[in-house]
Amino acid sequence: MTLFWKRLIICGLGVLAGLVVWPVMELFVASQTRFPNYLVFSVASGSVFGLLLGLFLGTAEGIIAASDRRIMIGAATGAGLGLLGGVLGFVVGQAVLFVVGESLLVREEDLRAVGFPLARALGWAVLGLFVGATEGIRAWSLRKAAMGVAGGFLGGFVGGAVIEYGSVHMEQAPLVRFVGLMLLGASIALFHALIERQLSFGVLRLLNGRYKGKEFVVNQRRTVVGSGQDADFILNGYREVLERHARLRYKDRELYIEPAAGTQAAAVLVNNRPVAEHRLKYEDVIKIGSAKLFFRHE
Amino acid sequence: MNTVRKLGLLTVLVFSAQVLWAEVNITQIDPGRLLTRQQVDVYVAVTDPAGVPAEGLSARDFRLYESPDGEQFTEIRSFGFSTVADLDAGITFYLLLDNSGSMYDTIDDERTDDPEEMRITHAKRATRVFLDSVDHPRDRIGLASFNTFYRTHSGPIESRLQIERLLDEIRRPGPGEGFTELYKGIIEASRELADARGRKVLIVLSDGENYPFTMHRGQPHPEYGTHVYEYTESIEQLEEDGVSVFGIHFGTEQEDNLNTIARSSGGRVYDARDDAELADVYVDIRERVLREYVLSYAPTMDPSERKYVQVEYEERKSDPRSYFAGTILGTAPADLGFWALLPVVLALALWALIRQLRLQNRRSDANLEVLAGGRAATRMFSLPEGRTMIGGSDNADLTIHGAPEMRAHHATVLYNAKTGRYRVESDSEIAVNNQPTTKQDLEAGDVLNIGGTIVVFDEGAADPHKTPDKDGGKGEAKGKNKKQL
Repeated sequence: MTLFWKRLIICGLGVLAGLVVWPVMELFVASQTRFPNYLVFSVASGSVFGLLLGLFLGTAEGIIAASDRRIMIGAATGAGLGLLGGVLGFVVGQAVLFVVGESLLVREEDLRAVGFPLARALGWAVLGLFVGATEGIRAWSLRKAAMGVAGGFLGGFVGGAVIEYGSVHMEQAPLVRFVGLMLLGASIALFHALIERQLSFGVLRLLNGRYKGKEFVVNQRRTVVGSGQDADFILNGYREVLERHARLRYKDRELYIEPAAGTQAAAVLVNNRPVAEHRLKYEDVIKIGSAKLFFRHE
Repeated sequence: MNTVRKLGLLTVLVFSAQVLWAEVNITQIDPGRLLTRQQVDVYVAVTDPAGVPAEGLSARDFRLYESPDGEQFTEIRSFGFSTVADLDAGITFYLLLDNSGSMYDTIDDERTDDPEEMRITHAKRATRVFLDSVDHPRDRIGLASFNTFYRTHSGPIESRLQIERLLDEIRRPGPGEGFTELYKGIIEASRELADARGRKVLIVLSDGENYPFTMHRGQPHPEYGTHVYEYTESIEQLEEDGVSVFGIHFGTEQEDNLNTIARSSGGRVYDARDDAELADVYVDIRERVLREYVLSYAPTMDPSERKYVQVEYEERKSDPRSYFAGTILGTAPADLGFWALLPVVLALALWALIRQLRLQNRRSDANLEVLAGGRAATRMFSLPEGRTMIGGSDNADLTIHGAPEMRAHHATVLYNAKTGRYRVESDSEIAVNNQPTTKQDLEAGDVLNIGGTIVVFDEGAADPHKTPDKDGGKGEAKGKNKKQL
């Protein structure tokens, strides 16, 4: 699967997440009077939305890596972080809204039209920030988490702004929320992809076999390639690939490949030659077991 | 108390009804603890027909109403009750003194060089009396002055002594500095009170009308440009910051809009002719605020951007005042019923479908894929079992355009029927897997660089019927139970 497909699938999962959140959101809006106070209302709505968004987007990496275990871990991490982010985002967002809302109410139409959506979008942005961090935390990569945080924040903000802008300006508020929520999920994924693209160290493209064309983005300082479920890049369906076969390391602004610890020195070939440690450059062809990978920059 | 009664009569009476009936006014709404404690504080002033604040009232004397639309009000049965004087929080007073040129005339608008006769001297003296009367340790006082420019002397602080000293900072304005930017002054002072907690009172002392620089000089204001501030902007800012204005006319001219500003913000306007009267006014303002009542109530959860509050005393209702109560979610839900389940079911079904998707390499024939460099008619080119000429020429089997180093007939891929394998040959140097060569047997996944164009060779091993499954054999078995994309 090329990067294009991979990213399309993540965006699609974001859309599905929005699809699930929508009726729940309508339910919350309809039952506001059943809540004892604004704090409980904010905590409850934020946690449920965050949980659902995190749950769906959390499965993305697992689906792409074709790993059931990774789907489970991602879903659990995503749900947990989403819940936390939803609570924080909505409580902070509501607090900000109560503070600036007063000033916006008395302001001119123009300022109000922009100010309200932006203030409300902030709550969605904080929610998105936590949901975005999921994969980075699962992979225990600060860099990856930071990318997710930035992508999630921007995506949450853009999606949230659309929901809120539409709610203020259009009569069909539920319909706007429906479209806006799906856009929110998709834009969290989209912004994550854009940032990933900016910060990637390179791309490995599979050249042969069943998954020919599948591309892996190198965006961690240390990346393990192998057939095991713990590997960052999982190569299954290829002969002679060990569970932890090769390791990519980013140092001094260059990307290096080497056999993973405990692997035979001849296990990794670059351009038909066995390597101990090799600085990767454009067009290098890596052979790991029977799998061949082409290195390029994104 | 005598002072208060006397001044009650002196008060400028804007609405004649006030003379005949007791009046109830909401002077400030503080929704600062709406999220944390579900509490909104409503400050209420009740005055008798003479304009004297009513004392000794209890919660039973009041009725409190809330509305999500300003029309349908519902009574709130229970609410916390106290007077401002009983509050531990203290009051924040902000003194805004007119320091325009006319403040350096006498009280009767005569020119003078004797500082003792100047209005400003009377104003400062009366302010000192006021400062001495502020006895609650938590009361805070700020000081600012205005003429052509606005100047903050101190934000709200607890030290009266410090404010007294700062009064001496107020000096006669220079040429061009003596205009009266009253409305802008109120806006600036209100902003400085925005973050203060509890009851916020802005006391504005002025001897004349709003007299803006731009309008009367005919040139842009050095700081505000060509914008001429309207009194309505002052009202908006006060409402935004929850500040009440008490105005004092200290002179012969009156600024009519100051009445409107003060009334709409929950305050009132006084006249004063000398420093003794002025000192009484200051004390009256403070005592009035101390006699206000605070009704703290838990708002309903009715969805609305604005909540309106109204207070009733002896069958007289206050004008409604509002505060912001919108949520992130907004209002107007869709009535979905069981249809709500549809998007959920649809999403789960699509999720399961995505998980089953297998974007696998299904090509069974040997092929070349143009990855980068030049352009070919198709990105994937099926290799026949024979010779395939690759080059820039139109009569090549695989024509590559847009690659400057590509020769007309650059390389040939040959199929060996006996071994079932492909081979690449070229007269000039090409690269296979980044290694220079002129001829080489190919295996699946080999990368050819032919004249700057990168091409990937695949023998189509995905089809087990054509050639032995070299690359996927073991993996096929291993991956059988895996769901892959």
